[in-house]
Amino acid sequence: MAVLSCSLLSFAGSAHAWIFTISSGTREIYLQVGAGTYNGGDFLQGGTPGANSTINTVSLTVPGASVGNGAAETMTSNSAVAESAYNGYAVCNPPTQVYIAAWSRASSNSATLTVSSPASLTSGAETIPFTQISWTSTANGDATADIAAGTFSGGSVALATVRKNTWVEDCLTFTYQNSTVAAAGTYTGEAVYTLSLP
Amino acid sequence: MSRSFVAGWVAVALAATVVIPAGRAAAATFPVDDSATLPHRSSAVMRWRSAAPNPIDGNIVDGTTVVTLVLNTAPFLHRVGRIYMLLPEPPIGPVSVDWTTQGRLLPGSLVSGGRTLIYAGPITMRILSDTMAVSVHADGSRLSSDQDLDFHFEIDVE
Repeated sequence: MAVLSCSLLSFAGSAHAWIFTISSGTREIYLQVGAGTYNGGDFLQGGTPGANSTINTVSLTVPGASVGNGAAETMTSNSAVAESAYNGYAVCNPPTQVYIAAWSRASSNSATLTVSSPASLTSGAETIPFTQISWTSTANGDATADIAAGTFSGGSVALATVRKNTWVEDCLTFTYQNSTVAAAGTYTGEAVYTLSLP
Repeated sequence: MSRSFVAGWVAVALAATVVIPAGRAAAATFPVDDSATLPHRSSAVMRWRSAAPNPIDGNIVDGTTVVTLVLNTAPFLHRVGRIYMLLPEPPIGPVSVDWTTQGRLLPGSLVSGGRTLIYAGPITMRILSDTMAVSVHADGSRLSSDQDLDFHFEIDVE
């Protein structure tokens, strides 16, 4: 008697075995201050975020007779961004306002938006404290600002907590307090906006 | 000649017997062994469905895998049955699953906590197998760590 037994599969005897393990999505953040890039239109048009190295400038010329008189003056930017990167809505009024947008992609934690500045704007050896510059935060069509108004501190200033998977945007209007007497010159300084996701 | 008859009683006993054939389970639901499925474990890094957060589907993450499902149908051979795929509700909230097949099993979709029919008919083979392309969709904002989706299979036999 010949017995032919052929078995290619064996069962472990347990009722089930297949387990599908899913892992969280990739963490991503996006920050735009002034000029930015969304390739292919705004987000709702199918656009995707890109890189943009532009550093926009806000500036002001103070007439000699007005220097240090304490009358705050609105600064003007070279940003032309008016439309939301999210939906194309005319959310800002350039050149007075500077568009700022941030979003985070994460399964946990919120992102933190801050701005840091050096202690002073400089013109050669002459300085003006960065604390002379403040900003307000508004947006057309949105009465409640997501990003805080404030004043440069010469250090880091918290602007917003960007909750996971949310998009925030506002428009910043900068004001020079003009309460310090400075020598004639062109004073410059650079503020850096940072979005971090722990 | 006279004949006398004695009246009497004849008792007739009537026994009723119901015979149940051995080896045949009554109609019921049974787990189906899929321990020969390949791979035993699948994994996927989920991808955000949209390129940025948005109110429509900004939190949905998607993942895919291919699995060769092998079901041990030997215990139900020559029976007629309906086989279902089940996914218990995971801690991260509802997970939806959809899949295509090569035709041996039914394509379909499933929301965690429920079950979906993947085969109906006579069980004619000891093994029922098919390759499935499986897509999983979950709320990415709740998927903070790896999550096992523990699929089960069961059969309703007639």
